[in-house]
Amino acid sequence: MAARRQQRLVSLVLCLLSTRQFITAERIRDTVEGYEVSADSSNPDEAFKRSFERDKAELRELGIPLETGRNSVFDTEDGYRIARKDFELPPISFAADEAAAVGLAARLWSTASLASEARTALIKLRAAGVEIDEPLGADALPPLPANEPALPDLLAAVSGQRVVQFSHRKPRADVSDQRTVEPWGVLSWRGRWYVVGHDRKRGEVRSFRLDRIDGAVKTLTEPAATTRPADLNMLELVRGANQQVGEVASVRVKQNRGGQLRRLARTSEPAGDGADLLAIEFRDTGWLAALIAAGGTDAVVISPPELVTAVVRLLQSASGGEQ
Amino acid sequence: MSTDTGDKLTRLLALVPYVLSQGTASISDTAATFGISEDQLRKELEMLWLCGRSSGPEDLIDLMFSEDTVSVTYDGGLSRPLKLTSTEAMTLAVALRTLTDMPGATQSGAAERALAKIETAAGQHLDTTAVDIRLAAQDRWVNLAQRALTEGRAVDLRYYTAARDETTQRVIDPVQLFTVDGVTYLEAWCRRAEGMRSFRLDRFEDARLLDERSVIPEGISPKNVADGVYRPAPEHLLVELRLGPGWEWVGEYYPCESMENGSDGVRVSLRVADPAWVAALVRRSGGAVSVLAPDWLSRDVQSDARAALNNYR
Repeated sequence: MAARRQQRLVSLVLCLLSTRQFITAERIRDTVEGYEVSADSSNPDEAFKRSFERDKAELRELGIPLETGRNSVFDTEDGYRIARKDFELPPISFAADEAAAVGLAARLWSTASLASEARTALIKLRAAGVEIDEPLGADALPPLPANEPALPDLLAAVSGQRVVQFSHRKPRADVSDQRTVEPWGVLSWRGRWYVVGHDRKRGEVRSFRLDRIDGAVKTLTEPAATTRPADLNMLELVRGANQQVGEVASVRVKQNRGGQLRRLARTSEPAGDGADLLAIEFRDTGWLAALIAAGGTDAVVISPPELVTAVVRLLQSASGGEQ
Repeated sequence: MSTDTGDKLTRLLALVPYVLSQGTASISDTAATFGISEDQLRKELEMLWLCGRSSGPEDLIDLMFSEDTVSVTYDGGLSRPLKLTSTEAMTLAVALRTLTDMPGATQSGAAERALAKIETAAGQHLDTTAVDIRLAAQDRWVNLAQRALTEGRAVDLRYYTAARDETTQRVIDPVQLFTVDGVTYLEAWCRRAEGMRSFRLDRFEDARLLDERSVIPEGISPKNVADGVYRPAPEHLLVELRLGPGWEWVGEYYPCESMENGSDGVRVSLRVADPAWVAALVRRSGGAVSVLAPDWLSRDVQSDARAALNNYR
């Protein structure tokens, strides 16, 4: 945005804040510097209207509440004003340990796409006189799944109970589906973000990986018709959806051996001969094959066949490859 | 609207109240607080100067600059920053709630109190349960471990030992944090075992920072334990490995006595406590890691792999 336009926006805010009367667009045009149009403009009224509409939209997007109304029944058109109580951050102060917590909290987002919301929130708090220093322990925060551009829009839709549309790529497919969803919440789990909500077309609860959303999230004007059930467990839901996506390996492991495989196992049953049969959920064949091969004679994969092939290939190469 | 634009206008509207709150604000401190350069700050302040209603000069923002400070003569009606948007308030609130799931990250109760104040300032109830952040078990403890190291404090630890399948309570003196294969360990002197131990953060059941200073007994230097879970000793077997493409990290993670780049990969020599570890590494890599010396180990490793293959015949 050009410096001139920013100056105009600040002036517009000051103008609308300074009055309790509604001010018409015409008055704004005269009072606020920056709405003068160049002399060679063929339609100055049209040019002003366009700039003013753009400015109003921009202020609203920043969360500045523009009120419209008329001062008396004799007024022929709507005017504008900003109510100070809706504009200003109310008085707020933090104890030192609370301010430290806020600083650390903002840093938690530093890798994720809400970093800019966290940053502007801190700017406002600092401008309100809150002292927030560089937080201790900021270098030891867990990395949240990084940079999912859809996250801010989805979060706004969740809190505003709005309906969103986005195109979503199916697992193991290149084509994407257009989805209309009433989002109930977002979940961060094992390095990924998910949005959970009511899928309108399918008429049921669904979860979607944010990294499979193509392009922008569109927020519809209509309000959501459903609300989040009080007992919704987003993790259970996402975990359930992912089980269909992953595969389950059946691995025979000698008792008291193969600790790493045992920790991954969903179930373990005695299989006779001093061994257990483990069911291990996986998506990356190469990764699980390497773990099973590392187990040597203690671990034998039974199924699926492509995992058996992968393990056999590793063992053949490890044995010198002369098989 | 691009994020940058929104950021910038928010900043412009926050600058005047910020300078007001400081009385006289130093240019360099203000630039640092807002995360912009001093030049940028001066440009933006000059932009603000004389912003306002053009009905008369008395309505315009008036700033007073000196060499390295700025103060507000007239705020033009801009005495307070903008309200938090609901997304901004949610962003902070969710993060504060997540911090309560990280013991030791904040003073007791501070995150909860700050969250309540953010809610009041936002003027609305913030449904933080709409954002569910599940931290990995080891991520919950990394902040406490880091603080123990930075502040030099001992830790009261309840720890699960998988090998013995038991949970024990002990006081440890942390030496360092390190990560091997995605698992984070806290290396520490264990007062119970009276020896150096590596504790996996994901096996912490509970931990508490003590006011007591951590004390490492003399003769134990962090350098000796800095090299991963395996601790080399002179009586351990010296082996020579070839690390093929994609497996060079082995040379970084484990303490090597020598390392050189060959035409067929990286050649390293290192001491190992258990030859079985080498055999597992070779199988796991599918031969991308191979044993160059000693000969008998190379043969053993290959016959181990053949024995494992027999399970599939």
